[in-house]
Amino acid sequence: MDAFTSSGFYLGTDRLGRALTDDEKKRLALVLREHDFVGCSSVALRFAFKLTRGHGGARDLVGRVNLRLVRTGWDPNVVELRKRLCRLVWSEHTHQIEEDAVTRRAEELHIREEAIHGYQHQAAAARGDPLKPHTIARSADERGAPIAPSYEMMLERQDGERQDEARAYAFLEEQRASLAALRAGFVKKKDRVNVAYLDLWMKGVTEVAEMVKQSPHSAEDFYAAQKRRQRAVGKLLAAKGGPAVEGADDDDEENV
Amino acid sequence: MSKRNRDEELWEELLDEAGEALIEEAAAVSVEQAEKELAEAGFDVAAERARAEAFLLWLEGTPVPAVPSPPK
Repeated sequence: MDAFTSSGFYLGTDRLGRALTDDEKKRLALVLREHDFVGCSSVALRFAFKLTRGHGGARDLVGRVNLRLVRTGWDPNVVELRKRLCRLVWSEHTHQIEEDAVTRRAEELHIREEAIHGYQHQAAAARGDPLKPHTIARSADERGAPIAPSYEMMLERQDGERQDEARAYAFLEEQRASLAALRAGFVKKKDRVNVAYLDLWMKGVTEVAEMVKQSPHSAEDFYAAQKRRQRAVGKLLAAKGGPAVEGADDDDEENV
Repeated sequence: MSKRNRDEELWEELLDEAGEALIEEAAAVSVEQAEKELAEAGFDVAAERARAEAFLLWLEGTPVPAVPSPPK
């Protein structure tokens, strides 16, 4: 599969299932230059700074965004580069955190495995006989190189896996707490439409047309409720140190 | 689908929704305005542009000149 379609859509390495060739990298660079990547990066950095509120954090975020762009692709026919970068900034910063956590867990596991097995292979190769990894080490360096994963390494790996599980669990708990806080806020404000929206969503009803059938509220009610929901989520994010969302502090009593 | 997955999906949906306006607003800013604001926030804009350029050079397989480290 080519990295670019005939219309110029860059597919991304995730979809390709492989790394880019040198020629493909050059072509991607050329396309990015044509769309003022450097200038667009400034726009993305400004957004990242607004979200992270720190120079280092913003740079780090933009660095990750560049790699995400290579991985996930971009269709210049559909969206402007600056908007694509800003979307990736937001995505990296917030709602893709779960996906990233899963990816990071997988990467970390891979790195740990590599650390164990790579180390093992290196130790065997250093002895000049990779087919006999159990040869007794002679030199001081070799004595420092384990022949097989030690108990310490295995314990470290198990500990790391437990930490991953704990982190994933904590992340989920955080999401649940956020949802509970959001719903409690709507109940307090007597925003019945948004309470219904959340409850119906949790029951598996995600389309507004279906929500209308299963509640006393109209489609207009649900669409009007979206802005209040956006503000409420923005307020929650801001409370967690996230981006300040315009209007998030509005304390309007909206009862529909 | 488990309740656990539903929680995750709903929260992601809500974050998507909340971010839409922010993304629109951020992407509507001109390069000049963004760089003016970055400079006001203490960024070395020339260095940041060099950092972005370095990414393109990396893609092109060109040796990347050292970008000055930002002050701690």
